[in-house]
Amino acid sequence: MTAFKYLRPESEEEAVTLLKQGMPGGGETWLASHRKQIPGVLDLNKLGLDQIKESEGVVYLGAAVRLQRLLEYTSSEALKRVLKLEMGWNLRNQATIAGVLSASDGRSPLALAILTLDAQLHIDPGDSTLSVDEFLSDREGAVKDRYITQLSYASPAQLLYAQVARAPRDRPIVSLALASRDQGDIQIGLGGYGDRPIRLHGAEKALQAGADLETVAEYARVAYQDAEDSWASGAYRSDVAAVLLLRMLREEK
Amino acid sequence: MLLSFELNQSQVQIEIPEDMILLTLLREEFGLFGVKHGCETGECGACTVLLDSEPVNACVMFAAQVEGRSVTTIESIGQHSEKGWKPTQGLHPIQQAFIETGAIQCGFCTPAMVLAAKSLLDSNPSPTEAEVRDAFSGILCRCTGYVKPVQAVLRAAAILRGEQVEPIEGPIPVPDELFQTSEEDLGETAPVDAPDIQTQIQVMPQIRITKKTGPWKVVGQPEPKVDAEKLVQGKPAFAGDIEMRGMLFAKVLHSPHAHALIKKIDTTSAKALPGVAAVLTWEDLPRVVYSTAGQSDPIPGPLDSFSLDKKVRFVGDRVAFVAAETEDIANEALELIEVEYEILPAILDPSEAQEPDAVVIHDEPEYVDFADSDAAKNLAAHIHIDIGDADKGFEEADLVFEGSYSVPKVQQAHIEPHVVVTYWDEDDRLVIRTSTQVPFHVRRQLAPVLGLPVKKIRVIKPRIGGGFGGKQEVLVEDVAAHLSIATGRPVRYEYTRAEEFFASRSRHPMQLQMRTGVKKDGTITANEMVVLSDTGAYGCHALTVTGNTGHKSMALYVGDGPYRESPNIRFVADIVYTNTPPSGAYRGYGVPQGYWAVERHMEEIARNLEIDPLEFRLRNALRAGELHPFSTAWSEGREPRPETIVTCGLEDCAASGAEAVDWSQKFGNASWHEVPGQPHLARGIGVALVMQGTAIPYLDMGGASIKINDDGSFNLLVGATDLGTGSDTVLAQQAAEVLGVPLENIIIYSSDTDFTPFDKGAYASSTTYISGYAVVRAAEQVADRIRIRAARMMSEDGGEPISHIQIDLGDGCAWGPSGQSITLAEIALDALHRQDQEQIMGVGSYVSPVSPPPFAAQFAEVTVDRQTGEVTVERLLMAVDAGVIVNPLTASGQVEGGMTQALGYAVCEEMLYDDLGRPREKDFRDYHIFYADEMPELETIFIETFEPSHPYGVKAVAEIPMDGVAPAVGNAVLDACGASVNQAPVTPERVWEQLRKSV
Repeated sequence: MTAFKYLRPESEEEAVTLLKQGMPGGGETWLASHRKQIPGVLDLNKLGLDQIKESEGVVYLGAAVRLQRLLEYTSSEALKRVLKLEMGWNLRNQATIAGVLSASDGRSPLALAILTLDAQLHIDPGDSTLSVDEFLSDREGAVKDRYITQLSYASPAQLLYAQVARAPRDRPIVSLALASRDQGDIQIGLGGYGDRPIRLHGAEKALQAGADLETVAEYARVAYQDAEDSWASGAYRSDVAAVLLLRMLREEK
Repeated sequence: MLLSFELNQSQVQIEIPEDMILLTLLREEFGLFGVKHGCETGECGACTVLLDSEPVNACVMFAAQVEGRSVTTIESIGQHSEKGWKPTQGLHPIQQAFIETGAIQCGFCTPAMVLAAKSLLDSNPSPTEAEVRDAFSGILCRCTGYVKPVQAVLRAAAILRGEQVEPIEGPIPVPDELFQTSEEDLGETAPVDAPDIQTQIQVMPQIRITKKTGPWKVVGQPEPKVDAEKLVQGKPAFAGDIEMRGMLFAKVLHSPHAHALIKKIDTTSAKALPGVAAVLTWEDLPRVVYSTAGQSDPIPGPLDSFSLDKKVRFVGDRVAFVAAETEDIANEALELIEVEYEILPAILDPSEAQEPDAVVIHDEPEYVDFADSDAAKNLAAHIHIDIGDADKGFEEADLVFEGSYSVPKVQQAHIEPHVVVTYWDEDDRLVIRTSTQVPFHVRRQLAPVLGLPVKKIRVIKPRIGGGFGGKQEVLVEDVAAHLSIATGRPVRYEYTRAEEFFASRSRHPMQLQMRTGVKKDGTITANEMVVLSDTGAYGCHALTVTGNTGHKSMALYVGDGPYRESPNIRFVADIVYTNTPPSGAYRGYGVPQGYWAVERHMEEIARNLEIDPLEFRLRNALRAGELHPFSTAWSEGREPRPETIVTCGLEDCAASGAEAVDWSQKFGNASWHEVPGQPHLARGIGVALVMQGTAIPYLDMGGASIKINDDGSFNLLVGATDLGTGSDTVLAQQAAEVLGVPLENIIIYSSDTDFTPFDKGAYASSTTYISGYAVVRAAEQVADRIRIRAARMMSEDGGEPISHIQIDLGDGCAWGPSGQSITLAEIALDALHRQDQEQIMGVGSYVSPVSPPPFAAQFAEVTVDRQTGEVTVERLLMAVDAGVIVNPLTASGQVEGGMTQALGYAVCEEMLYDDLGRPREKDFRDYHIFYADEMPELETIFIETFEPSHPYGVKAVAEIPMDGVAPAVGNAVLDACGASVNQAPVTPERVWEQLRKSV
């Protein structure tokens, strides 16, 4: 058994070399409780990934930006709420945006919000970009031998978030987010089930095509009709998803 | 790797393994035990430290991450004000405020809260309440309900800003005109000038004080907890806070199967692993059958457990023990143990346990029955109680209401896990330092299991980080003890949070059938409850928990008129084995299960009869002067004896609570139920009336000893077990009252089986009452000796001879009839050094012939989303008759914390298992308990009565707050939207289902 390694690469080149050796990069807060299953960890904090910038309506978050820092930065009340629902203060001071996204499941409020914001992930080496939607579909493949450097999203005119849970800060059974842009674009995300939240592309298109709100809400119902696990039945999730979407669409109007 | 960082304002360097966690580094390498272990996944926050002034969780942080940074632990915040000749900085104002406001209960999360508060106030000197709650949002407290910690921070903030704060003294009076009780029985009230009550300023609860508390100086006062100063400084006060040379770390291999025989077990590879000191299987240990339930002798339940057995009965059952030089090696050794299982059919549904073809879970020949247990039928206990003639009562009824109710398995979730350290002392006696509620039972019950006589075992109970019944179990002590016997070395065993969920004890899940006969006018003629209770794989507490389900909840409603004279009650229960983790003791001890059914059922009946639910309940409820109906029928598996209810403040609790929540303006008021602008939301209000017990009559015994010291202070030794409730404080207050000294002159210690008198331990809401009476008896002996000596000393000074009966004790002095006085210090010096020397000392013990019930009215207000079924609990208010309140701060803390635990029972806590018996909940992410930033408003009102069976008139307060919240919330949901949810917890989907049915 080889000894566990805690490494702090000081350059991208060094980081890539170590990533190719199978060392996971970043996400120490999650990896700390899974350390027996990994050969080591790459602490990427020396790569300058903790910056927040905003330029021409686009927000750029370094992969290592802590959740608390984002909470203090953002003016979106919905995003503030999402961050508080995701974790308490202590963990918000530790966990990074990329780390939380990488370890998220379908019940993560933050993953849903990021997905709904249509965020893009910037990945090095290669300076490639992929959507959070794509990343969540294949997390390991997306960053094999690479690492997330930045997350960016166009600042929305409005972000809405709603969830249903057993207690105010319990993990959601059903959650819904909606981001609207000045140009009239609307993104809708649905969460509370499975290994990742999903985008309701059909609903977005229907909305753009001028469908009535009740029709649009039905996309949420259909999306979760089989979303059954020990936390809730598919029938319940499906019905509540439609209720939340209809409410949110009316609020957005 | 070499790690360099700043630790508590000093630069340090240390060589560490690269995978070391910060929590391990701080506790094991630096001995900073103020950093606590509560979980391994960062949800509880007990391990909070400040990293560059911001709170983080040390359990999910690599030690390497602090390279070049600054780490602050509680050890660098504040100092005790008295450290000899060297001046100290004293406690930090935040720490002082935590002490003054009663914000500390078990104290396990207190260092984390103080650090988080410091970080907040350093950057934000004037936080709002919401900001304080957000600062606590990463820290779980299972004791307080967060009210007092929030008050402490707001108070500290004001002090740090240089503002004057109000002294904490005198309760807030309850307006007198609310009450119906006669003048004779009612107390005088303090001057009425009550401030508006908000969390920011409310520290003392509302109390209606009885007249009889008038002359007391210590009893009834909001004294700071006697252990608060050490807890607020994070001193190494808990069982796991100890270093020993050569200490081994224990781990247990748990069964992956719900029911299986161990065909073969090979430990060769595990034993060969370097660093492994011992591996034990069932083949290595003597086969001694016992019960893990920490109860008095004889154990009122079957003997059905072995330290290790060749059969496993639930996922998580024990298979093997390992002791190794490090925790990591011990874990690695577990993976090297090869086990061949023969998988057996498993019973996961209690309703299948007694099927004719059901597999027998306990087929071991050593099984010892108790009462009606029948292992061949998977029956751990059976109860059948008939009071009066229920069948006749049903015949006489105009209407008979039936209902089915169920409650889930839930976890005590104390933040300090079970932890024990065992070692051989210099006299070759085995010392067990353990986090237990029952040190004397641990010693007695483990002796045969370990092959040691009782006299060769010493059990030490340090501070406990919460127990709530979970530590009324001999659960981990035998593991470490067997390994100490095997190796001769000290052994430490501490549960992980996952083990707490799958391998400890929990509240019994139950299915309850109610049948109630009533007259059209609302008079109950007969009441019946039939229970199927699931004890899991072992029968610990099976009989007594479920017996109390009936004994307390079915005793409250006796009926009215002739039925009040002769109530008709039937209680029947089967307590069955299943292949799930064992149930056990949990605060409330079966009673919350009963009240879920009874109070939901009473609500349905009242509404059906169109009678105000509060009025219906009070019409039929037990009253003072009446016989406790179950007292002649059942007593924890022992001989029952009749008992009359002497004090009952239930009507006044209901009146004061109803007034405080504005019941008359809300109940039945359609406009109040609407939420303006949000037609999908509806408000609701609900109530539940409850009663508990105070100790177990003719059985529970408490003991105490007191001796005087040279300076007139006293050592009070009690076997009672303060598990965070403040019992040490209220016991010391009773001693101080008798001896006429301030509380600070009582040095209380609990508990150590070598030094403190016997006490049955902390359970059954007994300590303030039973152990308190023992303390009073011991103190009275001491007081008598002091009076005799003081009279003689005064007489020798010349003047008239003085009798000891003319001597009063007060203000640290003995006072003669002419106003002359001698300090207790002078009396102590006289007794210990000067003439007719003696050690002034007293020993007292007490067993009560009665168990006077506390009573309460629990109110809840909710908002329900009629489309999604989501329930938001907005407000909980409990008006409690717990007799005389010895300490308003600790008592109200009990109510606030109890209501918070019960809130989880109401809406979100439950443990589920899959088809193979594997648990869904293994951490605080899935098992949600309430954080500070999601709490409803909590309020406590005490309605004092003077219980004459105790010198200070006390009754119990610890368990009753668990009883009424869930049904009150269920009733409020019904009131809001018409959804009648009979299965707890009241989850959104369950409400939604009921709403769909009603459409």
